[in-house]
Amino acid sequence: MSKDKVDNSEKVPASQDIDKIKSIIEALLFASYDPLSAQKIKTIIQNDFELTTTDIKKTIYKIKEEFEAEGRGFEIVEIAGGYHIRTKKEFSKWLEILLNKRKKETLSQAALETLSIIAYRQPVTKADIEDIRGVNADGVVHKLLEKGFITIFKKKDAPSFPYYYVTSAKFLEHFGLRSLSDLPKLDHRLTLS
Amino acid sequence: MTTSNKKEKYKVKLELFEGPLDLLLYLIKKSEVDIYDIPIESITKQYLDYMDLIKELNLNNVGEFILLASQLIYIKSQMLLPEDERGEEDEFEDPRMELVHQLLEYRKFKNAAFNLDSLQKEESKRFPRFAKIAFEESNTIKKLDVSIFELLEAFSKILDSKDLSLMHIESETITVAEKIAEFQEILKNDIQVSFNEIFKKAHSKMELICSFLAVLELIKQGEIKVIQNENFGEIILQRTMH
Repeated sequence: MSKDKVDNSEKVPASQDIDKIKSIIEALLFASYDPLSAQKIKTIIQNDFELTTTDIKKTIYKIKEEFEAEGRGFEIVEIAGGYHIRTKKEFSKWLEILLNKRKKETLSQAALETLSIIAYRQPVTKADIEDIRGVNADGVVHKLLEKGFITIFKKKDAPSFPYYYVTSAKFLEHFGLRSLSDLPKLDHRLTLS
Repeated sequence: MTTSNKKEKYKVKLELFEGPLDLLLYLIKKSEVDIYDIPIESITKQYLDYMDLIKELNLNNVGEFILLASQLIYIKSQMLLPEDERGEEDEFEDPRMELVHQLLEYRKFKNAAFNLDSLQKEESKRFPRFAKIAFEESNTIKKLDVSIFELLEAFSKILDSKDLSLMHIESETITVAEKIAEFQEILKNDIQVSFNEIFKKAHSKMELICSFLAVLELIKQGEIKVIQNENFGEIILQRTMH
């Protein structure tokens, strides 16, 4: 901890360090409950290794490629602004058996409609949502808050009421999005039915 | 226990599903008419038919459905005005316009919700480590594979098909709770039961309605889910896995 800062910044990782860094990052990804951002990894290792987020991302891609080349059952996915180890889609059938046939929770139509309004129009108030859907939004907004898909947003220089709502990192994670710019275009259907 | 008490107790929250605009979109799609040129007369009539059913079931957000019904009736009355009473030609705006905008705006997000649904289905095939913990954290918002309106329509057909005049007139008291217990028993033995099947033995209109409310309650509690093997196919109630 008391290492000289100047000394640290001049440090260029030696080749054995590169392998070590790769293993450390792999360990962090393995043990992390939530998606881990390159920035977070940088902060965790910064006392020992001076790496830019770009270096870290490159290292993660290297690990990702290795997993791929070795035909692992899991992969590193880029999600909610970070990286997360997840099983591959093609194995879902067996994972569902392992987890007692419980599929991951899927949201109801009302919840999905409300979430899309918040996602595309954020920040929005409950009244904005009600105008579009034509129904009271109290219950569904409460539920989405409770489940962590949305959060209350503080508008600068605005009265604290009404509340404004925005989507959370959990929202991105649930729908497999890296960021909000990954959202499908509004007015466009992914599949015709 | 009086009828109104029972209804109060088993008030079902329709807002768990969809609202009046969704019903209207559903009717427009079903009638295969142009959203920019809605035949107000016939669509209003169909909408009001559903209103009767919604009122009968004493659903929670009936007020929202009534609000749109009055909007429809107002538009209908505007459409009936002779042209010279509508004012100057260039000032004239189609009385349906505001509603059309509302519907298009809603449909935009309904489609967006459809897209999100596809995304969540894809993403649900990938499991993180600690998946079991994640499952325990989340609980009960359940997806209805058949819309509430299709369910209402199926129920309405059942009501139509029965000659209610031949049935008992509230001679025996049947409660929603009894019906819930009955269906739970049926689903203990069979994983699935046809929606039409459960109404076959009903002796009164009250019993039909209690049965329907029991189905809605079981859906709400996540005990059953409603599935349909093909579009407009037979509606099936299925016990959920625990």
